[in-house]
Amino acid sequence: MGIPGRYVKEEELKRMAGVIEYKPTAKYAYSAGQALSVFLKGLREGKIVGRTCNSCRRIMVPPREFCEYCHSPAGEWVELPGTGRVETASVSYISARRAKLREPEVVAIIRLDAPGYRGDEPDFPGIFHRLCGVTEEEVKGGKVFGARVRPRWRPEGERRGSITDIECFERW
Amino acid sequence: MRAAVLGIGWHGFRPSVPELSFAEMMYEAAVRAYEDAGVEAREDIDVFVSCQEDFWEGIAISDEFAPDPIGGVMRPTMTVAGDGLQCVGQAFMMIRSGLAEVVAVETHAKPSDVKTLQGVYELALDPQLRTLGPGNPLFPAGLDAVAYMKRSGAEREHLALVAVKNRNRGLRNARAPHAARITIEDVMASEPVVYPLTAYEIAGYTDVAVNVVIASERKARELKGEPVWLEGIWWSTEVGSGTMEWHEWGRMPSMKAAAREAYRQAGISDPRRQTDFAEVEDRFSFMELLSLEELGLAPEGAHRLLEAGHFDAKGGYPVNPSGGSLSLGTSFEATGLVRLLEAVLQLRGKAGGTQVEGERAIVASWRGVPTYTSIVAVLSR
Amino acid sequence: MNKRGSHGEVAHVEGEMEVEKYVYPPGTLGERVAEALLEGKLLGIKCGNDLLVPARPYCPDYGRGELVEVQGPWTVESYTIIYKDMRGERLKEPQVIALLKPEGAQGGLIHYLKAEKVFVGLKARPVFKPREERRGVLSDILYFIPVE
Ligand SMILES: [Zn+2]
Repeated sequence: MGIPGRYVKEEELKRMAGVIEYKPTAKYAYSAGQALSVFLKGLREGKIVGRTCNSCRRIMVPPREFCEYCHSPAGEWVELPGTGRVETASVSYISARRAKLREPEVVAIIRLDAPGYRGDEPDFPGIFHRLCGVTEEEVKGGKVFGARVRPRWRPEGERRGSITDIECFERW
Repeated sequence: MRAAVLGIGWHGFRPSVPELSFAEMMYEAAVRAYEDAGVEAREDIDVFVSCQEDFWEGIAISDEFAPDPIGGVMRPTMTVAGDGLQCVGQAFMMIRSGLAEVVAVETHAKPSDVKTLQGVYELALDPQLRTLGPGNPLFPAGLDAVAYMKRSGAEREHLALVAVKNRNRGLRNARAPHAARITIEDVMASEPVVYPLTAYEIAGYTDVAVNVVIASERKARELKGEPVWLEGIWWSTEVGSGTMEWHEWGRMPSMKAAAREAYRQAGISDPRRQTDFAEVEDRFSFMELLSLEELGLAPEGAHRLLEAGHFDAKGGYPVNPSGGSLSLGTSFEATGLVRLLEAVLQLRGKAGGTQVEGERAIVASWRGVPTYTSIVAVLSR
Repeated sequence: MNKRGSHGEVAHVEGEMEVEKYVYPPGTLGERVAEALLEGKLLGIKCGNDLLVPARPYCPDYGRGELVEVQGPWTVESYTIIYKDMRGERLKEPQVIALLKPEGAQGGLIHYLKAEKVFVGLKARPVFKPREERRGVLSDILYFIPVE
């Protein structure tokens, strides 16, 4: 016995009796918490702040109150220079709200320069952000991987304590 | 292999905990529970279980966020969309079957992070019911309350008395932000929110994270902690849940079924004689009376025993000596674990100002409107 | 202004479970229920000797049931009155919501009730929207009113 049913085209669905359309209302104000609040304040001041784990000495960016590997409280705060290398990158053709972008956007994971790190560790302090001045082709061809980048900060008066206080990362 | 609650930790118990993220609260509760149990997070715990629900978190696929704060990174971690006590049920099965020796169960809630609580509740209703645009999605509790009153003969004053008993009792409990010094007159003079329930009779919301370490008897003895034995735990969902109209109004068959099986596991035939106190569902005042009937702790018409003071802390059978959810507040999926916490502290003799005497207790929780899922646990010292 | 934590001020971040909308199709059986609603008829599902309302695509024991039209009168099994929303704000008009059970059925419909005196056992009937405004959903019924 097959499953009872039939194929329905999207147009037909609009006219069909009994269809219910519903837009949920689900808004939140997530508490950033102790550690992320320091990070966000740092961004407003043009700084990238990380935190060291007392046990394994790793540096966490964004900072946390605890190290998830050691399950122990985090220790010293460290200000990083903000410079780093492109670990991986991709091209996005749609916005965060799924609208088609006029200009595709290059997004990347930046491996940040940090004291005690050689640059080849599987676990590293990093940031997910946009790259400016990088073409689609440079990503597709893999040319941008490993490029030296630094944050392009918004002017001081425009910073709000948000990750977008950094406009993007740019080559230098 | 018997299962024990070996450690329990919490953080929060305020209507709003703005200074911590949910992950930080989870971490704080976990550290305290592991300290209490005497276990190392990254060495001694075999499985981590987290009970959570995306729309309460405000994060899609929020289970991805479960492992880090509780020590579950690169360890067996699972999530269950249900009340924290359902996760305790998972831990119970893992211990009893020999799959694990130590299981950490975590649940957290930050209702203060949800700006549109009513919108999220409405989303939980059958889409057909949403087309009516009800002014308060808690209305199913009103339907149950009226049907319960009609069947049992309880009056509005009896429902009010539950709120008065529990809210006043909570004044002795440091974890009870919604405790209040109120009288029957205060309740009766208040305009209902959802008839017959006034704001005094509907539990408020509390931010909290709770972590419980469940261990096998062998491990519990080895670690020399203060085990509270988990003699039985069962949960049940009504047939036709999702079709609210098929619910048996004024009753809670899921709680009755869960109790029957939990009692069978614990070898209980007469819960009134074989247990000493209970932490039962009371997020709406009438639910305490209804729960007592479904749990077999009172005959039909539980309000008569309530009136006689039988369920007071000093009565024949203390019910909600903690002050219940009406004082502690509800905390989404953490509500059941909060009630378990109170019962465990009681059985350890560490309940402070709310301490009652007892060797064996019942914990019964419901998943709240608009669900028809209940969980019952039997604990002993 | 932000409050202070152990390391200085604490922040929060605004967010949304952003969904454009959900579109719930009625399903094969639901379509028949919806079409009946357009005609001003209410259906239940016959499962053995039981009549269950509202109709669902299968019986509680997963057997296949048979759709049948439900006859009134409907009886108020329970009711509630919503005075305030979850924020504690008073509604413009209190809403009476009832569980109405049709003769000989299990279950029933949850809907608004317009009556001077509301009580368990009250007999009522549905009042439908005008035909052209119906969409095959529960809100095609405006409310129930008492039958004399
Ligand atoms: Zn570490």
